[in-house]
Amino acid sequence: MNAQVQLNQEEMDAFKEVINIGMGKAGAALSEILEGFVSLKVPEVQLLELDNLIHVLEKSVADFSSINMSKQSFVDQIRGEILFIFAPIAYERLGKILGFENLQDLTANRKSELILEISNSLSSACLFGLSNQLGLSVALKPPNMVCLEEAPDKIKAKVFGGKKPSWDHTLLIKIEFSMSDIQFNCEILVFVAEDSILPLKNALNTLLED
Amino acid sequence: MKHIIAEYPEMVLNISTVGILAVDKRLNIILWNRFMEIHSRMKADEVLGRNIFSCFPELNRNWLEKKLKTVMVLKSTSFTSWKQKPYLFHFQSTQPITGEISSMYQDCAFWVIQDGTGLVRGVCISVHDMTETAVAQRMLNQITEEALYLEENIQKDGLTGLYNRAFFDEQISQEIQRARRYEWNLALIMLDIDFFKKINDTYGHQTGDVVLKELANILTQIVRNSDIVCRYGGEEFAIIMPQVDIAVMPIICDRILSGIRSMEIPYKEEIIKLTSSIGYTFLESGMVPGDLVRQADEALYRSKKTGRNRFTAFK
Amino acid sequence: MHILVTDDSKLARTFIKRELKACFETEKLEILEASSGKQAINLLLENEQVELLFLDLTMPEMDGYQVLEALQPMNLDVKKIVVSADIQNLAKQRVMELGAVGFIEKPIPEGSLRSTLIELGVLS
Repeated sequence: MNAQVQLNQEEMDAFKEVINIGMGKAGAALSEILEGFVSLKVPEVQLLELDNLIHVLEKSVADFSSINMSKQSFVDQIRGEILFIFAPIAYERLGKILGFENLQDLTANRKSELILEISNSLSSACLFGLSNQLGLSVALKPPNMVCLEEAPDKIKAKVFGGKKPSWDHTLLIKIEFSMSDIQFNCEILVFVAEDSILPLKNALNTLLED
Repeated sequence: MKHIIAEYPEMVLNISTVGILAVDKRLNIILWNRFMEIHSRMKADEVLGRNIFSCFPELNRNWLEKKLKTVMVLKSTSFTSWKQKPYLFHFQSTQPITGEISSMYQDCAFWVIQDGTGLVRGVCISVHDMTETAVAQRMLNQITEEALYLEENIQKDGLTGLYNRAFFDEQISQEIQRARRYEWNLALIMLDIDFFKKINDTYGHQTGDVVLKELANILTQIVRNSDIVCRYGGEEFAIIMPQVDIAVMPIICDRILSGIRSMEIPYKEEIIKLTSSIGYTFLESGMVPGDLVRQADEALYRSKKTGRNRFTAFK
Repeated sequence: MHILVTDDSKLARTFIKRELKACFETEKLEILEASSGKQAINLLLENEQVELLFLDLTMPEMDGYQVLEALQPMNLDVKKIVVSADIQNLAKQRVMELGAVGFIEKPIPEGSLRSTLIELGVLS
């Protein structure tokens, strides 16, 4: 494997600590906005090839009969995409903490609104938590729906839309978000684009030098 | 060298193609550009310093306050899209003559305003007119919906909702193939309403149509999910029945006949009752679709000849 | 002074050690390291001279909370300071209830450790 995309032991250790600190800050910020206790765990940080990514996705959706998914791109000094995977959602409870009213008649649009709102807050908190620790600037694009209440076997088609992507590697940070007060869980998959892995390594090594 | 915006602050204010406004931490308006002036019909000096909700009471306070607070706490950006929420500000459409939509569709972005030390001062909001895109998307959705509907219904009979003759002709060959491949039975029922011409002549074609529709309903209710009911001709119906037991056919035919006998079609003060005749046959080796139809038709003819309101199996 | 630094991240332990050395320039320091909760407890039992423990919360297998719980009945004479990225109030509250004398937020701001330790009554 190309040395440009591999993180060595020291870099990976530093990366995990940076993520840890970033998530701590993100958790505190989210806890303030959502007015409750939040949990952000990072069970996985790894370099993936395209086929593995599909495998990771399928594993994440396998246990549920109905999937909601959204995505959001980030750009600037590091770029990539974030995928959000939600199992069935208690929309009324989620809506309440996001300040939405009239949650009795939930249209598809309304559900999408809620999903996109929480996605944006999660990505903002996590991504900026991370980029601040790394000293890298990052900007978010608007979030988009990938699918609403879809069957797990349709996910691959929904995510990649039939065309085979042209990259080889991505760096995945898998984040598990949960808020027990409202029984809300979400899996956040942050995929760093191949050409951003080197800038990331450089930022980590700068930290290690200090 | 001063930053160009400091030198020419009117630059942002004069933009008329994108709405730009800002609120401070207490949600009082501190910036209001030309686009916003034009579409809200409120000049900057009318709104500056005032609370945004007192200027625009139609805004959902609970939701927007929460959203703005989130931006300030996370020091980040947030968005709304016309796809989920048609507009933030209720502005009139900019196409009063040619346009079909009455309000402006909007995409909005929200971002935090921080001073040099990182202290949060408020939120900046941009408003983008997405009406064109929304209209184009709506048209696209409509066309797609119509195409799907056509595709589905090209095989259906408009009046009864049953499959039509064209579909039958195609399907019968497929079912024969399938029956042979999986080695299961295939039966074909041909059904004809007794004296239908007389009903049409006596009560009119409109009533005749009602009869056909009712009959279609009855047939669909009685048969199994795997059976395919088609409107074969004006008053003739065909039912393709894969995987059916020979012994069961008389029972099914009987059920159909009595179902039709129990139909009551109201006409003025009368109640119209009807009966029907059935002929059926089974697929045998060496048969082609034409043979199946011919045999079922022959059996149907025999039912008619022997008194109607009955079923006959092809021998 | 004998100190034990516990964190599963080598980088985190390096940061704390660096700050400690800057903070205790004149005093003699003995800094032990543990990369897991289990290891920390074993080292504490083997080395009674340890007076100060820096403890991370998010560690696999045995997290910081579980370490504090395990130490409670042991009555070891060691001041426990939690150093963590999880800074929600509930976390801070919980560690204090479990016998910690203080909570320091990660990353530790450069040069701040001395005054923090004085505040917590660890240093005079």
